[in-house]
Amino acid sequence: MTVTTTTNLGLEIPDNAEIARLWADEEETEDWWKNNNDKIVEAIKAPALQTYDVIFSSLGTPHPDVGSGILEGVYRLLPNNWVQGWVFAQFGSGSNFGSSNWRVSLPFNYLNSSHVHSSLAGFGSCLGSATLRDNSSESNSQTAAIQLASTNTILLTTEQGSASRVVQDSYPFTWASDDRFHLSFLYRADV
Amino acid sequence: MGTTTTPNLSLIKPDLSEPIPNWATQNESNCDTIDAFFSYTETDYSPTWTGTGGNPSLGSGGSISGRWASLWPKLIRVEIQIDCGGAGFDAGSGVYELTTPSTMNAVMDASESAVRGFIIGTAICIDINSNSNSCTMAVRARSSTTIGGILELGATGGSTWGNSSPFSWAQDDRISLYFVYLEA
Repeated sequence: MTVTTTTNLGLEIPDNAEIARLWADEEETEDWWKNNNDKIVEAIKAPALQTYDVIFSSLGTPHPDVGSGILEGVYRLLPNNWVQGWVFAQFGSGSNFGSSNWRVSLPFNYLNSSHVHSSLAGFGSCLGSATLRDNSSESNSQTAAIQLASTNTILLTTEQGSASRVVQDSYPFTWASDDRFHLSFLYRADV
Repeated sequence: MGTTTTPNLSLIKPDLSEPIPNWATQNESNCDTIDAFFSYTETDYSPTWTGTGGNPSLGSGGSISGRWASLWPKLIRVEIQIDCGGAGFDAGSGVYELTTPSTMNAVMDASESAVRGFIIGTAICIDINSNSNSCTMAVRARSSTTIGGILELGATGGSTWGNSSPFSWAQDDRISLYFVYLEA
């Protein structure tokens, strides 16, 4: 009796003898399907959402801190270690807005070999998009892009007209309590 | 004895009269069919950068690098970086386009309808001499095999990525972008 597996998904393929054995035992057959191929297919159809602890930092100190606000990260691991993730941050009372360019951590390290990876400084891969919300001025609010900053951190780049092309405490507007940002990214992880 | 097949993947469905010994072979065929559908490919490619009024050409040390991966059946993610390079860079003229590694599904490209061409990704345009010129850009399907860029309201030079928008492309400027599309 032999069970082999397929290359990509690991689907189990029983031989004739194994099928005959399973067929003879209805309960075992049911268990086999539930625990093997069905499980694989279900996992592909609906990858589980996971939360992660986002590290929010800046190039200089002190690092930013949302105070009594919200900082949350969610991701799901897709086939072949692709990661689809989202981060939401809202500054609350007691916030600190850091010093110089912001950094936001990824749930897993980035896999260099799966991306176009330039060695030029400041030229990291574009991994996603973001929105920046000035709660007291809609005209300041804008879209942003997500750029790789290091193996496990990203930075946010601004629209045209900002003296700093990277989001930080006073760019593209002066951040304050109740301001917020949403990030959405997609990359292949080194896991 | 008998089998039928499903319409999309041609999976084999044995009926009640099909002998059990055939099931192993049929099951193996079905598993292999499904498995092949999820085969993973990831590889480099060389996008072609064009301008509707004249093609740009890279300067000394410049590069165009592309890499694509099959995230899901018929779902392709592409990443491109362009470093314009130094001496000898020619920005060309007109609206810029980049070629895709394969043909896109007609439902998403601008050749289906002049006003269509879905937004499929994001780009970062870097003017090496000016932070305030640098900006983000939406990536849009322009034909079944090309993409372009749509700029924010009020961007310098107009709404479409080109030789003078969102700034006048010059030596050592850079762009980094990614997009995801449905394959034909």
